[in-house]
Amino acid sequence: MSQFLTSLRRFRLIPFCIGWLEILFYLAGCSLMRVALSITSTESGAGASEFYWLTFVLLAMGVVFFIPVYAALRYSHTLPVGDGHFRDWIAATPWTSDRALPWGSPFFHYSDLLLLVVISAGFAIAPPVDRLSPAIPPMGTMFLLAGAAVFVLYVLSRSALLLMRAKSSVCTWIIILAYPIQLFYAWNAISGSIPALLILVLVTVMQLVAQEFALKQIIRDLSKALYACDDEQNEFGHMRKYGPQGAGFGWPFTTLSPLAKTGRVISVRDGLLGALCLGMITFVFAQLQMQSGENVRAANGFLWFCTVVFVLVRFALYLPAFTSPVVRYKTGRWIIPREDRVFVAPLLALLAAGVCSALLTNQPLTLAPWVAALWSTCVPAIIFLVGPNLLDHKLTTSICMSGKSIWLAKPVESKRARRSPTVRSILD
Amino acid sequence: MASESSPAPEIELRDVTVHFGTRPILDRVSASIEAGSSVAVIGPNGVGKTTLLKVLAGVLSAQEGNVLIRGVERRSTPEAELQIRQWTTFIPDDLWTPKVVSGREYLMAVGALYGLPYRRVLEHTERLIQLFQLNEVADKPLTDCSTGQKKKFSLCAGLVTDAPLLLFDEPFSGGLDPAGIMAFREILRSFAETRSHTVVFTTPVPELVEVTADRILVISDSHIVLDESVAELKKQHAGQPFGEVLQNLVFPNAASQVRSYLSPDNS
Repeated sequence: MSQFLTSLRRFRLIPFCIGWLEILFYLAGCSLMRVALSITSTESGAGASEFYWLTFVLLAMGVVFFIPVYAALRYSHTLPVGDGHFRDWIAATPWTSDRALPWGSPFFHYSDLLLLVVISAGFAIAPPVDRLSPAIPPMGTMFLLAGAAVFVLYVLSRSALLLMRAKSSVCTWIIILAYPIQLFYAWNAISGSIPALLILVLVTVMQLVAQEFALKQIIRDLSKALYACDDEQNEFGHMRKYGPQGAGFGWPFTTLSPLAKTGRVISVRDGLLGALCLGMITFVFAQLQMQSGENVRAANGFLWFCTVVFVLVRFALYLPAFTSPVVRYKTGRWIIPREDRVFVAPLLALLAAGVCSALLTNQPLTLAPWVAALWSTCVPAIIFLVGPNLLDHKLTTSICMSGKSIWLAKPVESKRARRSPTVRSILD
Repeated sequence: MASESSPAPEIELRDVTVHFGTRPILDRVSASIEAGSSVAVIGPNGVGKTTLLKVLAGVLSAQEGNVLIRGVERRSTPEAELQIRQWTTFIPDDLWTPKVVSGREYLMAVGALYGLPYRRVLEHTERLIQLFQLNEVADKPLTDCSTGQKKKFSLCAGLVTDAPLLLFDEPFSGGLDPAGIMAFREILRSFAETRSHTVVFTTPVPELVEVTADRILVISDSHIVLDESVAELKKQHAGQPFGEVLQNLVFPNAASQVRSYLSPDNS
């Protein structure tokens, strides 16, 4: 048995086996249901409805569990990104991004499609659940719904895995921005709208295409990283890369690192698209939920809560590069213009929130989702993009980073260093 | 004041003022230090030697005034600050090192942080370990090292960076053994002779200054009260032991207070 598993592992067949195991599970479940149906239909039939429902839910849960597992295994077994041993091994081979990966293609493959179609078709041979309740759509629609659900679930699982590795690009933002649209149309599709279902599938196909491009980029980057002969790869290149952030060097080298990063933490494009994504998600929820004035008031409270969280998180990030009120009191310097610039963005965010809040409570209900979306776009955009830029601010602000007058910087450095990867791990 | 043709000083302090609460630590302190100098900052405890060094190192901002390193103002722009960090190494008295790494790894990591070639760091680390007699503990975790050994590693960390401007706070204190003191003293003496590095260090012990520094800054009452070359001081006080000269400059009342304490009339 162990030899069989080893050979499966060697040939990277596990994901495909899992996929087909999933189908077997599903078919077995359907057969069981049919047997149960034939038995119960000949007898009293009492409790059959509950039994079908239970089996149906169990089957659905099985599919919901199996599909992400299959997607994860397909990804990890073919792509040498997450698996360190696989990566090390492939680094010792002449593989480049223009050649096929040794354990199969990580791209969407006809075998994936076949698997998804078979699972979806399983619904067609499933017991006639539509007879149980008028709420359940007829078999043809059921097949379409199941097919769409299985396909969307697979693509979503895949995109979650890809986003963990992909760099910020147009493709990754297409993947992310598709989420709120999918959520919106999935909600409508569940209630039986065929056009909504088609749009959902169309958006998911678009997301899948973006995934393929993101995956190509991941493979190109991997190839470059494996073959790079510059400082990033040779000798202690890794150490340098981790140094400024890793805080593994202790006091004062971390604080005074000549390799400290400069520039924006979040690029303008990412900031804007991220804010837009939050706005879209808010719009979808608002469109679905804001049916009454009470809901609008609840949304108003929730959006204020989110705004305050955004502002506080921004303060927390800037706090280590900020002279504390204690020091200001002691030195009598209450206003330090160079440092107090950090108040601009939170104040702007609160102002924008105030305006949106007033609009939200005074506009007709039909406009409420748009105002809520505007609120959730403006506040994050301000928080992400309005200066001063955190990294540059840390390097230029007139800050006390040690001594009696600072009660933050040094303990923060020490804490960070304790949590950070050690220099040994960096050296390895 | 430097003439127009002379090169820009390596370090320039312009009216630097630092005060904690109502207590002024440095009050409009100005000084300029030329490249290749080895400067000892001396003075009694609590007069602001460490504060001055921290202001130079960029870990403490002056409330007024500014610091220029090689003509570049500290914290003026991100690029300028990173450039200055590349030129400067600051070793505080209370260096914090990661606990689980070995001393050798630590030194290698610090060398890497300053962008030095791997071979150079490897070879320099080995030489420093030999020099400070740290062979036995070089590959053990830093937690296993004694206070003195940690101090030696901290001095090595400053030296391994190859930075042209070295700032050491109390390098001779903190449990350093005589061999360590001798090794570091000779390094500073070599730097002073060859003028290869600009070194600024603090010490409360005047005796160590004669061989390690070519210039002395004495701080008292928030001001630099003496800024003189060692050679000039020796010339001014010819025939008097140098340690005694500094003793009288820094602690003018110390000898009489000791005599008074030990006097039979007060016992």
